[in-house]
Amino acid sequence: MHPDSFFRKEILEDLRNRRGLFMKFALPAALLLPLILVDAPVSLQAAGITVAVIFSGVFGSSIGLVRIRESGMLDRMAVLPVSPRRLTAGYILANALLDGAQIAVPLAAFLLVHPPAAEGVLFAVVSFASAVVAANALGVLVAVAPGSSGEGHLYAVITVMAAIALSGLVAPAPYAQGLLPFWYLYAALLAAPGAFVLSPLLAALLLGAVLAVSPVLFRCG
Amino acid sequence: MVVALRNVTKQFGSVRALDGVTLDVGEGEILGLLGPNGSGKSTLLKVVARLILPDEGSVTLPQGGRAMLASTGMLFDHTAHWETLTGYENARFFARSYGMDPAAVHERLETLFGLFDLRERWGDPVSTYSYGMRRKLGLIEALAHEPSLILLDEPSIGLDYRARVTLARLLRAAARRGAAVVFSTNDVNEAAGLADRVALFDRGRLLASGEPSALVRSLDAKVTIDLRLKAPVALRPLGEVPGVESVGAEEREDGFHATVIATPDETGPSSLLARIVHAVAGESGVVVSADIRTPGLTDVFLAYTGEESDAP
Repeated sequence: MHPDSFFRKEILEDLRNRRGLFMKFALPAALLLPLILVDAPVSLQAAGITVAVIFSGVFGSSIGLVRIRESGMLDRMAVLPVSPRRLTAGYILANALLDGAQIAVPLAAFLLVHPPAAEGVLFAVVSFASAVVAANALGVLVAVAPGSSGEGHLYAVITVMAAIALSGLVAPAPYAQGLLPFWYLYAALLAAPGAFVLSPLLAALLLGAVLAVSPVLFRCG
Repeated sequence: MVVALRNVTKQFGSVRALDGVTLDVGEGEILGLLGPNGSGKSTLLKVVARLILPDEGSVTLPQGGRAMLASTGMLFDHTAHWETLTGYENARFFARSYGMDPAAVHERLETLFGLFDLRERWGDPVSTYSYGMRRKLGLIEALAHEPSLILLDEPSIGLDYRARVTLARLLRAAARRGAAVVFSTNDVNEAAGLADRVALFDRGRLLASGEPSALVRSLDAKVTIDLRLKAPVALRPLGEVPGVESVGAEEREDGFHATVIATPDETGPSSLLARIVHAVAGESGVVVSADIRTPGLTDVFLAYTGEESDAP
């Protein structure tokens, strides 16, 4: 595969980093599979998968982007005749693809242990894909502000914690949870009847908002 | 005109990086931005590339938006690359992003990697590259798509001699096909040797611009010839040599020295030296050694910045 676009470049870079790739797949499996296989409460298992999606998406995308900026590569990208929106979309989708793949194993295990009805599988998969894209979009949004890696880590931690709390994963957050796509994943995994169709809509809105502010990412002065 | 800057001003906090700069770059022209660190050269390049918007003034380019970016090649002052990708993959990413045809990319990159002696290492990850190799790769990425506007920030830093010669050839070839080249440097010799026109910068201000030789001529500087003589001779005949303005003499540890100050003329300093040596010989004197110091861009720069040359 040649890195002929930002999307392909991101995928190729991830595939080249064998150690990092192994860690990305091993860590969610090591943390979530025991939870799923030892008969822990289903709500805890569903929350675990949702938290993993939020954490890997927000943290991975924001820190990755802050590092790219620190290296000077964002300046170089800014003088390319490729729109910031296209670059940002490529970045989000490549990272979402990788995040989706790394959490797909625990998700598949969960669906095998707790087999839902056919439409339940569809709800879970759509909500999962939406949540993964939304988490990565949120990560890019978080990366707009920080000036350094340290600041980036801080903002990412705050965002992850806020997303977890506002998605009703710790305690119900009736006024906020429906506004974030993560709650729909949690609800779908619990086979709760929910307006799952809002999940891709919210993810699309978040993605659209991030693409709208993406030119700010590529401005250096 | 490819680039026209009019009264461009850019302030970073309390620092005025560019102060009312008005400058044109024409098709097929190589313009060297010469100045010390912090004089605004890099900022100017970024303003032309539209990475930085000026606070005041205007930048006019023949095209706008993506079309302008597609026909621009830029080398930054840093060596950032995708570290885990190979040199070839990095260059390919940029070439394809600039819209190069996939079939043409490989051949073009093979040529450029060969010219910069990087062909054997193009399959290695950039993380294994030295600083100089990264600079070469940056140049390949900036030039591969044959841009019509080439912006290079300190292009020769880290390059070996062969690569500098290759770069000069590539830039001259680009200028011949009509590209406008703007490069920054604080190396006077590089500016004098490569640029058709030099723009002198200091503290964000454009001090002067013109052909290097014209700038030197405008300075009305003198040629200084230091002669070490075997024995003292009468100085009056030296003062009568055409072009010579003054002659001084002193006894130093290594012998008797005569210092001749003359006005440069079309015949050049070698001819002047020959006339002086002839005059010394006419007084039965013997010249042991001679040092000629001709005025150059350094003197121009120092004159404009109000500093004095301490060059020998």
